[in-house]
Order: sequence, then C-alpha cells, then structure tokens
Amino acid sequence: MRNFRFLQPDSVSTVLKAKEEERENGRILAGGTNLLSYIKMGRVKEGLLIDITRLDELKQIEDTENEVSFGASLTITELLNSSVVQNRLSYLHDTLTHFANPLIRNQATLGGNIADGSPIADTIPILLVLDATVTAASSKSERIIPLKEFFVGPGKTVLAADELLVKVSVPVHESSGVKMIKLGLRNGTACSVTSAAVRVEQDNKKLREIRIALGGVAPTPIRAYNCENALLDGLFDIEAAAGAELEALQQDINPISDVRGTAEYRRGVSVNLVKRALRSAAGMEV
Amino acid sequence: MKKLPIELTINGRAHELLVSPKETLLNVLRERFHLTGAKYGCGIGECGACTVLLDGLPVLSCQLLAVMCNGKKVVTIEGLSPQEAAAHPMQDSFVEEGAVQCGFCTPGMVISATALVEEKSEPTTEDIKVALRGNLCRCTGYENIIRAVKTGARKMKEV
Repeated sequence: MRNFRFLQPDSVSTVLKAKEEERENGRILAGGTNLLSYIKMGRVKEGLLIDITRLDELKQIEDTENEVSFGASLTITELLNSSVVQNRLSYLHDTLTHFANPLIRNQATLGGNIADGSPIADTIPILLVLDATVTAASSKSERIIPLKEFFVGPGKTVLAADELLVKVSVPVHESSGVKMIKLGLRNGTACSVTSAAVRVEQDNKKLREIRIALGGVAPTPIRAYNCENALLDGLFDIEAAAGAELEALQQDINPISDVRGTAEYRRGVSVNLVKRALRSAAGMEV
Repeated sequence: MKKLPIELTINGRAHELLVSPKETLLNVLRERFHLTGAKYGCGIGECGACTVLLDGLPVLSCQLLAVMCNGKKVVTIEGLSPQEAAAHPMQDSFVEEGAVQCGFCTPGMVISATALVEEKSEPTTEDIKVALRGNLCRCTGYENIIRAVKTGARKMKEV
C-alpha cells in the first residue's frame, strides 16, 4: 500500500518547516504533472505531499530595471498571459508556446520544470543563455544559485533535502537577440529529442558575446562553453559564425541513443539547431 | 491513509466528500460520481482523454489529486451543456461532422475545443491544431475534428 499524507500549507515558512522535518520524504506538489506520473510508475512510494499551489508568495512577478523574477509556482499559462513576459521577455514567451501542450501548461509550473532536473526540460536552455538564477530557501537560510550550476545529473540538482526553489530570476538583456528551438518527434506533447538556445550580442555585425545552451545531449542541460569560446576567439563576424562548422560543439555534448534518436543523430542535429537558433537570434534569414 | 474532507462543485452542484491523499480527480469523478465521460488513457499526461475544466481551464484530471481541487469548480463533458436536456453546440457539431470514430478521445477533444472557442470565437485551423495538441485521436480523424470545431464555433455564436 502506497502511503501518502497531504499538507496544504498557508505560508512558505510552513513549507520550509515541513521540508526540514521530512527532508526527501517531503514531496513538493505544484502542477503535479511530473510527481503524479512518478507516483503511478512507483518511483515515489510514500511521503508527505506538500501542495504549494495556493501560496500567493510563490505566484509573484517582480519587474525591475535589470531583471524579472518569477515565483516558482507560477504556471506556464500564467507566464504566457503575463504582460511582462510578453513585452520584456518576448523570446521566453515564444519558447513557452512550445512547452508540452496547452493542458499541461495550465498545470505545470516554472519551478517544477527546473527542480525536476530533467535533461530535456522545455524551459532550461533559454534560461541558461539568459544567465538565469534560482533562489533556494530553507528554514535557516536562503541562497541564490546560478542555473548553470544547478543541475548535477538526470533528475539530480544541487537543491538540498530541506530546500524549496522559491524564485527564478531572469536578467533582461535589452540589446541581445535570443532564440530557442525545440526538436521533438511531433509538435504536441513531445519530449524533446534535442533543444538548443542561443543569445547573441553584436556590434556592427561582429559577435561581441554569445551564449549557447542545449538540452537532451548530456546527463544535464548544458552550456556549450567550448563552442562559445571558439566562436568568440575567431572574432567572427555574425555571418561567418552562422556558417561555421561548430566542431567545438562536439566537445561540449555527450549524447546517448534512446527511443527518440541515436547519439549520432543528436550530434548532427545539435549543430543544425544551434546554427538555426544563432541565425534567428542574430536577425538573419533562417 | 488518513482521509481528508474536501468540497467540490461538479457540473454546478456542490458536494462534500472524503478523499484519500493519492486519489486523482479523475478517479473521484468516475468512481464516486459515475461521470465516466472523462477517460483514463495514458496516465502520464500525453493523451488528454481525461480532460475536464477546472475553474474554467482545461486540465488533465488524471494528473491532479482531488485534494488539490478543494473548493474548485469542475465541469466534465456531462455538464458542459448549459441545458440539461440538450447537448452543447460543440457536441452537436462533432456528431454532425463525423468527428467521432471510437469516441475515446471525444470528451477531452470537446472540452479543449470549447475552452478554445470561449477564448477565441473564430479560431483558425492553426489555432485549433495548437489548442488540441494535448488531445490525441488514435483513429486519426483529425480533419473531421478540425471541421467540427469550426462548425461548433459558429454554433456557439448563435446561441
């Protein structure tokens, strides 16, 4: 018999107290789209289900000059409907329209998509190129973690057993071009085979800064540091960068073969996705 | 497992009941209220056969615990029509356009389609394809379904 208890706390501090007592057994329930699947599969067999969907503290959007912060239990639909996302982070809005499907978007939360630690989570590559950070809180303290340091393996993150992901902060890069492309086996509800996001800063057609991130090509979502550095070292103009072979990208990725595609296919398609995202981010014809 | 008291408004009627923490909304609807329109398909949020409206938004009732829905309003296919004796215009359109084959996906399709038209009264083919991305038809009758949603949208305007 699977043994679950349920808590619908009235404040974040109650959640943190419960996490302190229950540790790994305190299961955060937000959208439920992952956790309920894990319970049905038998991967999660017991524990205290902590429903954080009714906490206004975790539903706030803070819009400041340099960054926008999102409460962790905002749903993807709530983000899509936010005028801040539509106006200041239009590229994030574009990415979120490809998130899972409309039904899941009505339930799934931004915090859940991150804390789940999936290598193919739909929001991660774009958040990585935007230099996003997450705030983790425990009953004792609060810390800010750069997203690029957050993932340690499939389903594994640096969140401690007594911590709750409370906030996601996204810097606003006014002069950057940004694009994320998700490749699935179909358009709706598909887990991505590979996804890639690119952010570029250019100066008279010269590449000044570049961020590249991918999902589905390593045990965690990754930043492609080798590829970024190779492009910057070459002092590429933007056309040349988009036409480059991107050999360095192969050192950044370590894909596996699975039901959705082979490792070899992912190595090839990663290059194409990064190039397409780069051209689109730089405002060139794709 | 300790049972918990919740209040649910289902198809316009308020109910109080005791549920166990791991009981899904779908199980409550089907087994306690015998509302078997919403179906258990994949169980992991890929097929949309369990779609219902929760406070007006289409959601997956097999991916929600009933306790999470305490105090909320649920509408299933059985309660979609404003009139008890007549079908909803979207249901009529699905019948007229031959959009039902085996019928397993139909309740979810109709719920998602109605939610779309409530938001956008004249949806394009692309709007419909996007809105129905979470609802799979394995009889592959999508052409007729898309036509039915357009017809349904026209009918919904008339009433």
